[in-house]
Amino acid sequence: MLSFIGQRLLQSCIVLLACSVLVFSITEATPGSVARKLLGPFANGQQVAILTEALGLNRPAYVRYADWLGTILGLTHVSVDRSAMKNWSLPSLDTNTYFGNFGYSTLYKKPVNQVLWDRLKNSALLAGVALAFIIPISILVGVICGLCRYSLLDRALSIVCVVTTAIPEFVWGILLITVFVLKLGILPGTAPLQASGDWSIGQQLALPALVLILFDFGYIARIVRSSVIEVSNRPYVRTAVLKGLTRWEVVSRHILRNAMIAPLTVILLQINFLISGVVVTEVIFAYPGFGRMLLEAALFGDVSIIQGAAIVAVLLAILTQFLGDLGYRALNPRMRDA
Amino acid sequence: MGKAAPTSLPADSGASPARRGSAERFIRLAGLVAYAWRYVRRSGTATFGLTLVAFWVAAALLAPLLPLHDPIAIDYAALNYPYPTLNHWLGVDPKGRDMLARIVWGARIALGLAPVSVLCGYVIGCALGTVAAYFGGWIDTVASRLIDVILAFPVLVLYILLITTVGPSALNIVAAALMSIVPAVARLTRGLILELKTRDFVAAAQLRGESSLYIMFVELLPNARGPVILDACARFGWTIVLIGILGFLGVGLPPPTPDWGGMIREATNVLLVWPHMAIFPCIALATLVIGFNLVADGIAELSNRA
Repeated sequence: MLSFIGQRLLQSCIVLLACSVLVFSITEATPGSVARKLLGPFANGQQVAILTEALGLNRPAYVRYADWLGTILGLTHVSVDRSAMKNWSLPSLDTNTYFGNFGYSTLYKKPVNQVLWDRLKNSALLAGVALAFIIPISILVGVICGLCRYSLLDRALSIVCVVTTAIPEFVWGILLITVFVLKLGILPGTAPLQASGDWSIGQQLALPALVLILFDFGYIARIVRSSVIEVSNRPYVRTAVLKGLTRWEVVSRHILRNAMIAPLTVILLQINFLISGVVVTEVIFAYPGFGRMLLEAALFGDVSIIQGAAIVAVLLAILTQFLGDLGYRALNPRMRDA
Repeated sequence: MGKAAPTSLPADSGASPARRGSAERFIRLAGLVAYAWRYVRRSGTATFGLTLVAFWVAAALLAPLLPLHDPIAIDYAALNYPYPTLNHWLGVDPKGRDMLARIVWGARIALGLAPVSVLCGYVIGCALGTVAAYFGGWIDTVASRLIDVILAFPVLVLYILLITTVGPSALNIVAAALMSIVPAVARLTRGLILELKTRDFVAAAQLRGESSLYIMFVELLPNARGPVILDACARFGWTIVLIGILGFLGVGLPPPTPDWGGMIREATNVLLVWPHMAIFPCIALATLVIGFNLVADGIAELSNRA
């Protein structure tokens, strides 16, 4: 077990390093200078030249990559050549040395960390609310479908699951806004997460969470269904039936416990998607989450935010995959000694 | 597809491939279509899904022949009453452009870009997965880690980064779609080939002295076709959603193009006034995607039943 964890940690570090190279090369080594992206289209050539000089952007890419990585790891700090900008005051760049320093956001005019973790917290809140409904609903639907497989109820629920999952998030968002905001007027169409308006935070969260629930539950339910069916066909279930256990005992002890192993990994992967991948839902409802921040930063050209957010997103993905593998091993007795 | 088809096809008997005329090729194709149709007909779900898809394919193909308005002609006068009328059957969009024409022409964008992306993604992904699984060793390790890295990346982040740095165009949208299709297909194919390559027929081919290329792409890959074709159906719908999302986020094809995602984006600004402008393209997109997913679901059901 310990060697497995150590091996996975090492692999995760390598994957993370590879992703950092990928992120760095996409944001920095693409056409157009970083200084130009930071200052926007209205800066003149001189300003771009000054910032390029001050941030040392004319150094070779691998030197800047090492510098950037060092800053994140807390080994060095954001180096600004003050003498190059003596006539030009730049808002206090985050020049402190600490672990996880992603630099300074030009879009929000704050250190990246202040924006990033705040937005991540909001997204985690939305993901938590959605998951609190998705997990019980999808397991219930999946188990019902799996237990009465090929019946009319199973076919109807299965088709509902396929259809709700096939409808994209933004279509759900628009349909729900039309019904609940326009026709019924009982919920707000935006969720800025500020309690100052007419709507409470709970009401604001309702529609974005509903979109995620409708969009996501069918997928997990179908995985649960096929897992239940697969386990039901195993010989040990037949043995349990033949030795005279009641149907309830067979279902609860032999089928459900084993059928939950496969969906666990999928549910953990959904956490990752629900936190960092719900750009569309956050955009529709103007939700101050991680995905919308990333989209805004990408459209604005805020390199520091993009880099920081991408690294955090990858970290999140690796973490949930790791937890999924650990849970899989913990639940599956045959994997424990391997 | 031709090679992958089972040898018991109705139109598969007769002349050697070299002497086949175009008429015969057409008959063979028609036979394949008829075979596919007979197969799909056995599942109600798949039949309904295929009907939805066929409707949009027909709309996309017939768009230039149908008596529609110009999809990019702006008519501000129509905004006086933008709802469905006899002249504009589905009303007009926020700029006064005919909605029906834009939706029908928009089917061409979705059904043009998605197959190209999926096809390219399958060619590259299948090749990558097959080579990685067949040779194993360090090739497999490198390919698998590479796939892990790309799949660990949140896909939307990747698209947005890519499109905002290289700019939106049809080619870049296909490239963005490929970034997620290729690793997923490669992982699927790799798993299938890993299992297949232990079979006896591979050992027999190796003993015959066949080349690695022949074994990989003539012996192994056609035998993995079932799950791969099934996955392709769902991935079609998924790619159409992706193109819609890119349009919706404003990083899809530039504005005058009748792209469904872009239409929904433009209509969301006036959603509280004229909701129908967003809802019609939403319905179009949803029915097409549901169609592909029902086909995939129905085929899966059929293959499980068999």
